[in-house]
Amino acid sequence: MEEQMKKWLEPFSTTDGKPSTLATMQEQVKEWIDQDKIDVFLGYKMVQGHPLPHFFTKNNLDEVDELIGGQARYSLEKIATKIAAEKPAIKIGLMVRDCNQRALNVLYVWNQLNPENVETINLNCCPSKLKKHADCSYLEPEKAAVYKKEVGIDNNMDVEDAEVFDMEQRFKRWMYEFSKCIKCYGCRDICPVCFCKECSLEHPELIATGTLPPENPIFHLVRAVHMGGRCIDCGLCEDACPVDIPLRLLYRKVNATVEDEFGYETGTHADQSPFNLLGDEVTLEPKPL
Amino acid sequence: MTNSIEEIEDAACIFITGSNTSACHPLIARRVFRAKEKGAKLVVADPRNIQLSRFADVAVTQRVGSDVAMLNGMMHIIVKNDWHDKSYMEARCEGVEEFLAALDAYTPEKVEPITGIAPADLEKMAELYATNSPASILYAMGITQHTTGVDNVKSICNLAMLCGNVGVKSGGVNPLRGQNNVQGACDMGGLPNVFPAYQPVTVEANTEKFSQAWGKELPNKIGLTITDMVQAMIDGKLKALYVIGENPMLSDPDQNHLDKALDKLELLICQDIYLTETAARSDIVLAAVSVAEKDGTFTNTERRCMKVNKAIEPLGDTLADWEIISRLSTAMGYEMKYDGPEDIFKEVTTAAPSYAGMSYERMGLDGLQWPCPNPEHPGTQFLHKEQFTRGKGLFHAIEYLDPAEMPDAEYPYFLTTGRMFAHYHTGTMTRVSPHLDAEQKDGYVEIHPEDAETLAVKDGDTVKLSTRRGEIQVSARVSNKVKPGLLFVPFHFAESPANVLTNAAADPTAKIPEYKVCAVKIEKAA
Repeated sequence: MEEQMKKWLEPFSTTDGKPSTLATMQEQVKEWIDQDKIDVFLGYKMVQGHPLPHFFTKNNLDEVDELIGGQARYSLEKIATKIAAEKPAIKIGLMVRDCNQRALNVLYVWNQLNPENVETINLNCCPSKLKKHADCSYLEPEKAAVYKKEVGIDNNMDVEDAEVFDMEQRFKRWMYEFSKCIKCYGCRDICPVCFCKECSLEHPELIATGTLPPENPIFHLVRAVHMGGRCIDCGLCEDACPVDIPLRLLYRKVNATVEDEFGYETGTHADQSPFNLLGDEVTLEPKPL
Repeated sequence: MTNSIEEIEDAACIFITGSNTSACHPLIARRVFRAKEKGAKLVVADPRNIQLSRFADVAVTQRVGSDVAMLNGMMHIIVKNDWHDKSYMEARCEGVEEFLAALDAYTPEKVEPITGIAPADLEKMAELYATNSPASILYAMGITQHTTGVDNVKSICNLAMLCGNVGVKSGGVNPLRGQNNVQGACDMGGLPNVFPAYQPVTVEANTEKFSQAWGKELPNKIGLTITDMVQAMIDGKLKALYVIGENPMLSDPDQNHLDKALDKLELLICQDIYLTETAARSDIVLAAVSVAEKDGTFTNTERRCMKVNKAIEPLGDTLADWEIISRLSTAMGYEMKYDGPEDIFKEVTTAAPSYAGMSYERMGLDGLQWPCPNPEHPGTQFLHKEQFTRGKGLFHAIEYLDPAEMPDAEYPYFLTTGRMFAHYHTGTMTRVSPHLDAEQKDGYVEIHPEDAETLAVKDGDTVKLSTRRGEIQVSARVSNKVKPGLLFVPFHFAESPANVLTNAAADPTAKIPEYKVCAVKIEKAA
């Protein structure tokens, strides 16, 4: 427990790169709130031994002393998106790791958040294809179990490893993984870059409803396709999946294709994505029939 | 559950029967998937092809209501092959001889015509369960909701004891409870025959103890079960009914009969968070708060008592259940005065010895598993470790009996009822959720393609289902999930209520109705 606590109190660094401690981070947040630079700060608070997402505002400024960093990992930016959708002018402060930052970039690209209304405090973070050297124990991979290795897909595989199987094997193995799905929507609900108002996964014309497993492979493939140019490889979907479907690997493959075809590295910057070629806003009234 | 959910992951064999685990207990199914991937053997016996069947080393679809024959058949094979745990049986059990003698007749050849299970499959089921230790048995309503429900459960216990699987980690007899707090409600004495922690009302010392604790002379007579109450209403012996958090209009069998019974009541009170079908016809409705608006504890299927913490203040003119009950009781002349849920919990720890060591302070986020007899006790992960609660584990010699109603010329199909993954029970809480409603908007009947062809019924056609008790119209779902001759109707949907069809015939001991088997006729609707 003490070891764990030490980790929560590890040093942090701010956006300007200066080293910081938990105390100075808390100071920073208080200052931002005090000076109305932000209206709300999204961070974590320890509740009965569990780090939980928490709102810090002027009304509970004292609670900022309980703000923690450490290894807590959640899509705070998803909460930010929901708040911003209701209150577009609100200024939001966020505790971010690299994965959160990549998600923010995608959300900026897709006009879900306005970068001018977002302030961040950075934390050290997890390894990813997009950031190789880092530490985040939440993603310390579990070794694949024997039967899963035999018939399914080892969640620790890289895209290249998973491509050694011939097409028939590949299909069989992925279908094995998909057929465990209990349609809990945990992968979608936790996803920081899932923000569509209408979700194709719930569209009865596209995917049949009412059965378990969901209609496969279409259910998982529809989600995978939608992850192209959006997935920022945070791995929260896989963490959330109760039946250990290697979703992170699946979406990595999709994004590898996006990178090959368009040279676009999802989440690394907030520039135009090849997928959101928005035209000009139409101001004309629809033509009468 | 004798054992804990987490332990399932480390079982060497899991035998699932009468539980559609991935649909109804999805997070327990998670443990099953993980166990399977770690190399556990999986045996699934369910009248329907369920999601887990496709992951099983052997999966069978036994005829509905044939479970005793199936289980006796498995045990017959185990004993014949000498796979049973003789030293365990000798050291820890009794009633062995009579029990073993009763198995003699259940040869695979005798079992096959009853269950529809091929001898080779039965052999494999027996072998996998008996030769991979520890083996865990998971079951649910598919075992209990029969006129032979108690026999079915006893047979499962026989099987577990026969192979020395009770009182060991990752083994056990594990009924998966259908509600988050049904275990807790039973623990509190929410049954007609016991005080808290299953202390029988017929034992004088218990009646005396509780009469003293609660300052009121308490009856020592066993009360009525729900099934008995319906008859008592018909007979005019029961005049007022107070229903809390239940919707018998959909969840009790034989709706037409129940309807008549409720009509005879002088007073019906319903306490719920929504205006259920039952609440809608009540004389008085008491609006209770939802889970998010109250403090307290729930005790789940693995005997784990956990804190519930209020997230928001009660909305509208509503009260927590305990406040409603306390006020009502006080108004009726028996003062119930508590400072809040914690005050009540303190009383629980004095009334229920298995909760004696618990407190809000100790509970934390993970709670405590009973028995937890003193404040130093860490709680109990699995039961019957050194010995059984009663001392020796008692084997029962059980003979197979047919369900109360079998198909005949007039009602040629078997009907079984149950749940589907998107909805919960009578849909009170789930059908109001837009996401869950989108998943399944209305009722249906699953019918095998061959039967559908015979009847010229296409997927989506409206069909009429009738039994000796009533009829409903519902749309057909042509599916390989059911075998020819078997129909399945989920009971979540008031528009096509499955309980118009179901049989109120009940188990003679537990009084649980036979929701899982009755005879039905199906016709294409005009």
